[in-house]
Amino acid sequence: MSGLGNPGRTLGRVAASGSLAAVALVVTITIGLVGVPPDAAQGDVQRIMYVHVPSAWLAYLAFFVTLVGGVRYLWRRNLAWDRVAAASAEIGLVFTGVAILSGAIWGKATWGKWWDWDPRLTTTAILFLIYAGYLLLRASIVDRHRRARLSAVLGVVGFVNVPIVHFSVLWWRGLHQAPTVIRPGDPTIDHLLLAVLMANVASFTLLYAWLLRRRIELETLRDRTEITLEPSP
Amino acid sequence: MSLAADVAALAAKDIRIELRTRQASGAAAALGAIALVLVGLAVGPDADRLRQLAPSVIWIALLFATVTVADRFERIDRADDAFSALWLVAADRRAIYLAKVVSLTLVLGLLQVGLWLLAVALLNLSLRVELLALLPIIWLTAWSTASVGALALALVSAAAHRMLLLPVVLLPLLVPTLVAGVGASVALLDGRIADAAGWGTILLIEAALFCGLGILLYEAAAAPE
Amino acid sequence: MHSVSDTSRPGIFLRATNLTKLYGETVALWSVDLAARGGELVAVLGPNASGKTTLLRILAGLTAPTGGRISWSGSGAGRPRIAYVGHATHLFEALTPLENLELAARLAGRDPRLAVELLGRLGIEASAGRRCAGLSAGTLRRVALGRALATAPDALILDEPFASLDAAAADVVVEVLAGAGREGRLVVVATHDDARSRTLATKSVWLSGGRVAPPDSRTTGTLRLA
Repeated sequence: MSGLGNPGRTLGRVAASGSLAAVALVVTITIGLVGVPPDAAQGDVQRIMYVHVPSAWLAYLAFFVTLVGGVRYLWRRNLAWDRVAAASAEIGLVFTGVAILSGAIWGKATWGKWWDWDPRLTTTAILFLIYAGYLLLRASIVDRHRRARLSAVLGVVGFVNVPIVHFSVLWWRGLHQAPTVIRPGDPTIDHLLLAVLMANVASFTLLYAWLLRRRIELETLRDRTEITLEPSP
Repeated sequence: MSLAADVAALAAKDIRIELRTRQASGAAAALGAIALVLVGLAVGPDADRLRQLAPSVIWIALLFATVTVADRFERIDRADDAFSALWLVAADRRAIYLAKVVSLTLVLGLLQVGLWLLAVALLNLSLRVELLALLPIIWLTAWSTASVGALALALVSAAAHRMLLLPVVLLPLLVPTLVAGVGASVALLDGRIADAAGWGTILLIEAALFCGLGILLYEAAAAPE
Repeated sequence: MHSVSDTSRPGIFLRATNLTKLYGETVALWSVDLAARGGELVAVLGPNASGKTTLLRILAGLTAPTGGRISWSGSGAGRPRIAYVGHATHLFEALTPLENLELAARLAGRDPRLAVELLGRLGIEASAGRRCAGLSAGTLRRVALGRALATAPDALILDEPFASLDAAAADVVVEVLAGAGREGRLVVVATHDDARSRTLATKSVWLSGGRVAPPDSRTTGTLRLA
């Protein structure tokens, strides 16, 4: 993932994976919107699940990639890995926003309120704040290697925080007996709906991969317009 | 010199400077007290409501005071670039981090004790024997907060707009500590000792984890180059 | 008890090759080589913005070069003990000079009682017990040097050590630096002070525009009489 290679060939590959992602998305979302029956209890509004769940999954995946990119940068000081980490964090932040928004809409329609301090939503909100901080930190440091190093540290600490936040809020809410709500992953979800959901997760993942690749290429191009000398070994 | 001796020397330096200038603790105490008074005003005279909200209010006041304290402590080292000298002379640079954790823990712990005493008066908390059990909770929270804070300080010190960036980076990372601290104190005030002990264990794990992460990552975060 | 004049030290050797530092498109330093050993006194000379500070910070390890490499050898186990005094004082202003030096000595694994002796050598023992915040710039420059020496460094890197000093104080510093050289430490000094550097230095590096200056274009930026 460290270079552009032959631009023409690369663009060809990019276009191909973009088209694949686009086709997959259109197909799976269409199926989700019109191809399967609505949920027995919630009705049509439950279809938002096909956007909400994949977005949340992608957010966590993206931030995991940020963690890996950061650790690999710290290990070898190769800026290519920093570009991966940063690109993934940006995309992750967008998907986190989509997850929160879609979750709020879903919540309003089913619970009657825009927000509920349940562990998953709360963790996602904190996640948003942590990675917004990550990008703000990056934006305020000029030196590339220093920026990469500091972001990597924050990427590690931020990601470790995520499960801790989740469990903390889970136990906290446990004390208050939060009302249970039908959630995806609930074993009683219809098998067909689950299959469609998984298909959407897959197509969203293709979208993520394509976005990641484009973002990294953009950043690589930007880096190459600067006069640079990598420190010789 | 050994790591422990270096940590002691550096922490003593922070404490000595703080005692002489009272910059960090003064600002933090003022901020914390103002927060308590304002919330007391806003919530109104209902004794039960005040008592219920007390732990949350104290911990929120503490979080914001933490940003002030952390920033002031960082200025001790950054003014006149004293940090570069420490960085070059320290045999083990993790000593710089651990010393910061020690001195921050001390100041944040004492600040909390003060806030709780103030809350007894302003927010109508009754003094009970169980409140003594608050002391370990206070020190664990202080340790956890200090561990995250010292690392966050290292991250933002290089950045432009450090004072704006510090709360943005630090506060979301302190959420687990906040939740556990509030959980423990609410449980104590309700007399649920077992629950409080559970939260206390969580706090201990968090503090150890964040301190461990800080020890691992500090050099990468703080290197001047 | 350790004396500050510790002459039984292994020889430290510095080799820096092709040092380059770019800030975006600005060339702060370009392809600078330097080799020196303990006991030598290297003067880095040149006008303002010639790259002296950048070079010194890179040698001290406080700034990462964009290109080139530095190697230190002969310091025994671990990294070489380097002391740096830049334009800032690197002191804790709420502490006294004595406290600053004692802390530095402790962290370096040295006897803190060295601090008193050092302050005496630098002629500032009278200010030893007053907080640094209340001291003059000239006194602080000497305290800063004292702090650096208190760590018993293998290499002493100083940026404009004579700035803010009157003639008498500057002479004291010259003597202290010469003493450091005799003790086997490597001393690197960036300065405008042409005269003192000539008396002090065993080796000179002239910079101009970030590059090593050719002999005919060497200047410290001061007005010269023909």
